[in-house]
Amino acid sequence: MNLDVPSMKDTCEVFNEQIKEYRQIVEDRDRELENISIEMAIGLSEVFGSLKSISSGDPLVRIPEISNIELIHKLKHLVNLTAQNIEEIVELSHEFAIGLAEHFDVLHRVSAGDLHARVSGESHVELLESLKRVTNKMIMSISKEIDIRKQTEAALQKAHDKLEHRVEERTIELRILNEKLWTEIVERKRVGEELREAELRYRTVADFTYDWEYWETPDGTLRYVSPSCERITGFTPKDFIDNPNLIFEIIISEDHSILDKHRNDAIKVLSPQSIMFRIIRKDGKMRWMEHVCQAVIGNQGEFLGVRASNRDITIRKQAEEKLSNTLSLLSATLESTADGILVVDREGKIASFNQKFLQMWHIPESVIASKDDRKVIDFVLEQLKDPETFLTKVTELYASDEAESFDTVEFKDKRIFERFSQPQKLGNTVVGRVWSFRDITKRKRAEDALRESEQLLLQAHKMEAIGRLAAGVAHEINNPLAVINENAGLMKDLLELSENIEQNKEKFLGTLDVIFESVNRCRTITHRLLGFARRTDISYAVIDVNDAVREVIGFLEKEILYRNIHLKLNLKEDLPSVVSDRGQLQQVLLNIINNAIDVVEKGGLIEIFTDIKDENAIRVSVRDNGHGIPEDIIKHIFEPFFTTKEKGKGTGLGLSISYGIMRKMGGIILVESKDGNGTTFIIEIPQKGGTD
Amino acid sequence: MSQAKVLLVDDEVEFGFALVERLRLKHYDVKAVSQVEDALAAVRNDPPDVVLLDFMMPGMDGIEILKLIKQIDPSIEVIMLTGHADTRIVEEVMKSGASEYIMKPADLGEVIIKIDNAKKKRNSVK
Repeated sequence: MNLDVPSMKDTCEVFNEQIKEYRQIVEDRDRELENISIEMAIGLSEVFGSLKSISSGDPLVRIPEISNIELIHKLKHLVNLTAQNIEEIVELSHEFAIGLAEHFDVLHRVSAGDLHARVSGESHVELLESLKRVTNKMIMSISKEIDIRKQTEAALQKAHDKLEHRVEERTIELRILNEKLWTEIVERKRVGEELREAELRYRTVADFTYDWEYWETPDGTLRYVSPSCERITGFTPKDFIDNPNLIFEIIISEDHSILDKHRNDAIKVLSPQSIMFRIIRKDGKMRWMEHVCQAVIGNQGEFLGVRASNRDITIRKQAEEKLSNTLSLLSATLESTADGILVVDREGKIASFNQKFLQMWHIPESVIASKDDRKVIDFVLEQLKDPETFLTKVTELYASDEAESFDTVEFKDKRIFERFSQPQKLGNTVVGRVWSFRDITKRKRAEDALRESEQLLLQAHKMEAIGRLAAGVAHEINNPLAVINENAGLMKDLLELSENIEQNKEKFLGTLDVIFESVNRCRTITHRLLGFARRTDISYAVIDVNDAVREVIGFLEKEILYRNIHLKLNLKEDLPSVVSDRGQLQQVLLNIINNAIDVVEKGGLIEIFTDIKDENAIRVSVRDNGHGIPEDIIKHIFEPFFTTKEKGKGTGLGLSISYGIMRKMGGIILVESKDGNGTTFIIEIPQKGGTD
Repeated sequence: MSQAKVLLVDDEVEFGFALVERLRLKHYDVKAVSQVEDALAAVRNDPPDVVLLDFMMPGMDGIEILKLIKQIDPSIEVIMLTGHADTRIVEEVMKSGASEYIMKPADLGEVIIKIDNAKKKRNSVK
């Protein structure tokens, strides 16, 4: 081997040339391989596309059979052949289906009655042709058979029609007969029912009568007795029918004559006759019967007996008896009352009056006999002091139905009547007017006398109170008067002793001051007294209760002081004022405080409280620690003339007057006391006004 | 006969002052008190001939004081002074041992006569 470079170089070159050539070959082979695989892929995809079309029902697909690859060429050929075979099979089955469809159509038409229908389609399918022959032959034989049956049926129909006609004729005949019979039956049934109904109706009427009904025949037997006899008498209809005399037997003996007389009368007259008698029931109880009977006369005028009805009128009889009792009671009451009573109806007719009324008004029989209220009024008018007012009132009351009135009537002869009038009602209807007169002359006079003596008593009490006050006042005034007297006397004495006024000037001035001061004391006392005395008439004003209490204490404080009595005032501040009569209120306070002063021992205690009782009243309490009031006395202390003071020391009117005053004010006076434990008087003063 | 020794018992101070002075001007030996205790003390310690005693004294009425004075010295003459005009009280006063009574307001002449009479009476008893 040549190992020099040039040779090596040459060798290399050749080597490279060689490689180049091989590479070219390899590349060409690669390209050739690539082309084949592409052609194969295309060919296969065509084959698969064709197969897909065939399987989805398209046998008409064909693919070009050209290909460089043998395998692909054969595959394509096979696919095309398969498609061709399948196309032929599809075409055959199509023709078979059409032929069968014609068969089905023809058979359907035959079954629907079209015997002329035939399978006519030509086909090269052998099976179809032979089927066509069998089908057509069968249709023809059926058609023939049907024709024969139709002829038979026509003959039969004819015979039947004839028969039917004859039946119809007979049927009509029968129906006419039948109807006649039915009419007869209905008529008979109707008559029967009517009879039964009539019977039921009359029996129902008779049996269910509330009253006890019966029919007595001329021979005395009973033809009918209603079941109600049992409720009324306790005996059954059978009892009466079996014993026609039972009716007479149960009537109480006192009433037999009534029935006897009635029987005689009933024969003579045909109109209904009514009597009343009593029976004794089977159970022994008495019942009142109202019996009505009438003769029964037949169509030919023959006497068929007596039809009678007995009604149980016991309750009515009892009510009548009660009513008559009530009436007698009322009339006795009316006559025995001390009042004169007159009842006038709405037409001005006198409906009722009592003897007392006639006596009181001096009404003669001749006037009352007219029953005319107008005449009675005319008669009485001249007896009255004020006839016009009387007449006006009467007219007014007659004009207003519902009005009630109460007043007094004065007579010229000094009598006084109370007149009360109210409507007389029947249910809600005014049917008249009741006048009631009461002679109150004596009562009036007694009342007047009483009022007069009350006035006198009040006066007496007032005098007592004034006397007591006067004694206190005299003392209170006499003392300052004595001061004035002595001081004025002293001045006079001094002047008499010495003419030198200058020497005694200072003394004189001092003495004069004392005099003026005493005069003032007197003036205060007289003013207070006047103020109290002036309030004698009732006059309501706004009053401060505490002030009123203080003023009363003012009158009494000297006495309280001298008697060494402790006085404690517990007057509530800001006490609401009251509307009341100051004078009367103070009279009450004076009475109860005076009593307290009288009962406490020397050195005793009197406490006066004021407070609010509630929103309506103020309360004043006067409490002493005296010996108290025993139980048997306390209940009398408000009675007039009741006194525990010794004779001449009290009228016994103080507390009774106080009670009266407080009542009149709408207030109240109370006492609480325990024997040996002091007494509390409480007055409650209404905040607003009095009752009159 | 010397002038009577007089004790005036009255709570009405201005009355007492004036009457005392007037009686002194007439040369009476006069003393005035306005309290019951002072009056009783005076009766005990410096007995007067005549007591002019007001009927209404605070805390004790004149009749009781009168009785107390009479208890201390029955010979002392007591003349009651009263503003009351009630004759029943006069009766009671006289029954209780008073020698006289004087209604207020009184004339000085009447007062002096009654004091003098009382003094005479006391002297005669003595």
